[in-house]
Amino acid sequence: MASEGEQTVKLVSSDNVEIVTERKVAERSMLIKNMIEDLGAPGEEPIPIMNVSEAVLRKVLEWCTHHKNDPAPSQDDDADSRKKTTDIEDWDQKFMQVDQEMLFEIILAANYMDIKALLDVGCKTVANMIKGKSPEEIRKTFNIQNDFTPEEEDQIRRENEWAEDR
Amino acid sequence: MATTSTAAAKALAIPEILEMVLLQLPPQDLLRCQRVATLWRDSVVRSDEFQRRLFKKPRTNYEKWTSLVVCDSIPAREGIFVVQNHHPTNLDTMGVHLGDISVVEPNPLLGFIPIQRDGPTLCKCAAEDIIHDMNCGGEQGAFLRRPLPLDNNEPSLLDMYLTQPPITNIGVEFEIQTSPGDWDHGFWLLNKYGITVKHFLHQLKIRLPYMQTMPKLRITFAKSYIRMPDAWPGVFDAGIEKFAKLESKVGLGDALRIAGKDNKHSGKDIRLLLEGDNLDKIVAMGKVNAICMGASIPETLAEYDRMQSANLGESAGETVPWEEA
Repeated sequence: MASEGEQTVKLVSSDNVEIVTERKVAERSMLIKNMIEDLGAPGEEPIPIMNVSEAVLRKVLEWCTHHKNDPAPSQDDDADSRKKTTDIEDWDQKFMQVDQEMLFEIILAANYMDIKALLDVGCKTVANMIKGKSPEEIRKTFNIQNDFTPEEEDQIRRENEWAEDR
Repeated sequence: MATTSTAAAKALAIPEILEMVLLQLPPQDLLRCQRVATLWRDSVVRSDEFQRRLFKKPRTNYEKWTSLVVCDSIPAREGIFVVQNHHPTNLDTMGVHLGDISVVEPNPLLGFIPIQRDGPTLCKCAAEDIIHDMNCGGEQGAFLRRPLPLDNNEPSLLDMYLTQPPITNIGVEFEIQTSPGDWDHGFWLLNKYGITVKHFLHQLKIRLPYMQTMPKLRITFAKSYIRMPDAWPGVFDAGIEKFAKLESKVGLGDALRIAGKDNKHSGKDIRLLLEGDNLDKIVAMGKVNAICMGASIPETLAEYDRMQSANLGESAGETVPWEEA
């Protein structure tokens, strides 16, 4: 039997493209890892990744390949994350230099495929885009509907006015 | 670079993803984000973690060190105040715990500017700086970058704690002539549940009923409130020397534990360290420290003896023998 590192798995994107990749790479995704364990015979049965298109899946796998040897995250990481808010390692930063549509496609894919570390990097990237922006700029940037009533909006603005420019 | 993105709106409509994004933001941005959309507001308002980050709910998982072990373990991070007193979250005890040092985070939304003191500064956190400071009863003081609005009744302002964890006593100093020949120099403010902006402004209005704007004032973070007892000069030098020996014997982790890093009654532990001539004995005492909080040394020893005899046989290989004190 081949060692785990050499095993490959077949993934199928939402637009029906088959991608073969190393098992270790694919298993950065907890969704795939669990599926492989359930299927029992990796490599033979193709694994459908229903919500992710080929372009996005390739991008996600590129990240997984670079990070395939990362140690599993420790419990302490959460407690620590507050202090190093926007630390993103260089490679990840370059990786995330994509157009905004792709950035959020990656985030959605990471969420669906359950790749915590990638989701984390994506959210940090978005947070950096938010910093210093006004609510209106944030809405424009991300195409978000303002669903406050004028009264609500006025009230919440008044509530927090004091904090501006402090 | 405002592109219309469908994936963005879709992703940020998923509460879990939105929350992960918001978790990466400093308080100022977090406040502003509440105004983006109802989902954004709700996720900030309904989350305890966000309320803590906005200084509206108390943070209780605090960082505390005893004087012996502070040394280099207080992070030299920007914007923290080191205060020495009973711990802010330790509401019931107003007494002195020798050597307790707490780190509080000043509320960034209030714009505190720490006052640089003469001599060594605390935030460098070298052991000798802290000891020096404790011995001369130094204070961590701060000014406010801008006066707080006096006529603003918004809960988002008034309900905020001054620091996190919430500090329970502060000094407020100013110099105001209240009537000819009469000056007000300030006051101490105590609230055992943690001081909020509301407490602070309320007291200020009582003292200065005719003020139009907040005067320039200096806030002292409860440090001089408790001074090192004069009877203990040199206590830390001796303690540090002991701690170094202890560390070389049992390793840093156990040494910290024995010295009572997580122990409310760390003052007692310092004394334990000083009084224990036999290092083995101290090491062994560390094992019963947790169950003997508040107990005297003879009680601690007796408790340890009791445990020893109860466990005799099973743990004989691990125990450290000593002669009776």
